[in-house]
Amino acid sequence: MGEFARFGFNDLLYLVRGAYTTIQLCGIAFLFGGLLGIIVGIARSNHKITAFRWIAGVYIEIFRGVPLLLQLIIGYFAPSVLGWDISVFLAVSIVLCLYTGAYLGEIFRSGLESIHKEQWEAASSLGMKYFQSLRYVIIPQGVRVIIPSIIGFLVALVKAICLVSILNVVDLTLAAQRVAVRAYVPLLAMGSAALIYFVICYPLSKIGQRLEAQSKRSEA
Amino acid sequence: MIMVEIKEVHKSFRDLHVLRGISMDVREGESVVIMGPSGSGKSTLLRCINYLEPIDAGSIRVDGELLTPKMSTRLAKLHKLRERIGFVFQRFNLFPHLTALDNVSLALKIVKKIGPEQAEEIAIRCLEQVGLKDKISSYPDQLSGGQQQRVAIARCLAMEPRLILLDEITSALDPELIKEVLEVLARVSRSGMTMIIITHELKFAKESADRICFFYNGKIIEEGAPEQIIESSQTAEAKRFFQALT
Ligand SMILES: Nc1ncnc2c1ncn2[C@@H]1O[C@H](COP(=O)(O)OP(=O)(O)OP(=O)(O)O)[C@@H](O)[C@H]1O
Ligand SMILES: [Mg+2]
Repeated sequence: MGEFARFGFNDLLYLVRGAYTTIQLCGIAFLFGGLLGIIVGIARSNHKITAFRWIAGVYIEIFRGVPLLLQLIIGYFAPSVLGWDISVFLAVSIVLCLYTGAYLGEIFRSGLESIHKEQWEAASSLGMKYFQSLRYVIIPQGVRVIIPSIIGFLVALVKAICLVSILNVVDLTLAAQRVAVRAYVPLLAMGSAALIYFVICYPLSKIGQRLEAQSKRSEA
Repeated sequence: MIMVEIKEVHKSFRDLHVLRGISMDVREGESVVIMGPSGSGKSTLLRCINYLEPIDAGSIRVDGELLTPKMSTRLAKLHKLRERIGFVFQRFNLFPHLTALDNVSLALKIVKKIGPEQAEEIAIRCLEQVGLKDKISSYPDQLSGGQQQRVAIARCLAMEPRLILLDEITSALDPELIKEVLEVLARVSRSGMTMIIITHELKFAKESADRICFFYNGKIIEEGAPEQIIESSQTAEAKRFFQALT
């Protein structure tokens, strides 16, 4: 096992920095994509204003239907073609936000629609307005339904972000690749990266399970 | 004073003509019972009265507010109106994520903008009125059907409505639980509340209603004092209906 001898502290640091980039991208995508998703999900489940529903539907289908890698490549080239001067990191972040917004939008829509029409009516009959009904009656119930799907998506997102390595954004996967080549420690570098991915994703799943169990208990 | 004035109301769902020219008045303080076969449009009328469902033709005036065909169901004045109209549903429609207390106090806080402490005071008082003081921190699924329906009534009373609409509020309940709900209802009726009640409970109708409207096929084909309608109805349809019930 000569790999251990060749694997230095700097290499480890490089991996951790890559992991940080992965987490950063994931956080940005989840935060802004989440906000976008809320708007899209509400628009999508709004049966009164057809235009909103339609626009949200087209957006969701495009970003869920095109491979993420392709979206990232387009996002990489589009700014320079259009003459915008933005960094690759920013371009990639925007694509990830849009991608996340589409998926979370669809999840939020399913959550909102899982709540029976009668709950809306009960809220309306008490004089609540549309956004009051959403905020106090529909969303608190819908959230419980969708927690598992959200966590599932997040875990998938953490792993999907490795695609940015194609565009030379040094995420965990690209960092591992570079360390592997530079120090010739392929197994150790990739193994460590795999371990770090696991360390990120496992707690997420656990939190998801905990939240799901909690919401079941408070319903019982 | 006339609380509800319904004039020649029509309502269709696609090709299904559900309300075919309904006219009726309800005076302040009156309890009017609506009876009639399944599918005759009873629930639809009730839903039109607080405009959960838009009407196609005719007009409805509720507590001074004129409702006309094809209005948006989300108009600001409708929120204001619904604040004054209570609605109790067949399947209770409590908010499952909230305790009995929060179910009752939520709209007080966010619709009536009453401070949290005072809202809870009112909620507790209303739950007490329906005999559920000891259940204030229970969630709906920890309560029996009869208890849930009483929470729903408390939720409605807490808003101090001018009018209460009740759609078969005992028909999802086991027979032994019906009584407790009807008792509460009779008390509310005696207190002078204006109510429109859809029910199949003949005894309740006789004791508590001022009037019965008999629905058939989207029309009111008989209307009058409970005894008169139930025991000596004029039309064959009503006779058949009440015979089947007794
Ligand atoms: N939202 C809707 N869309 C389409 N059809 C509807 C809708 N609501 C009610 N209907 C139809 O309208 C008719 C009248 O329904 P409604 O609920 O008013 O009857 P009802 O007199 O309350 O009957 P029940 O005693 O069974 O409750 C029924 O045929 C029903 O299927
Ligand atoms: Mg009905």
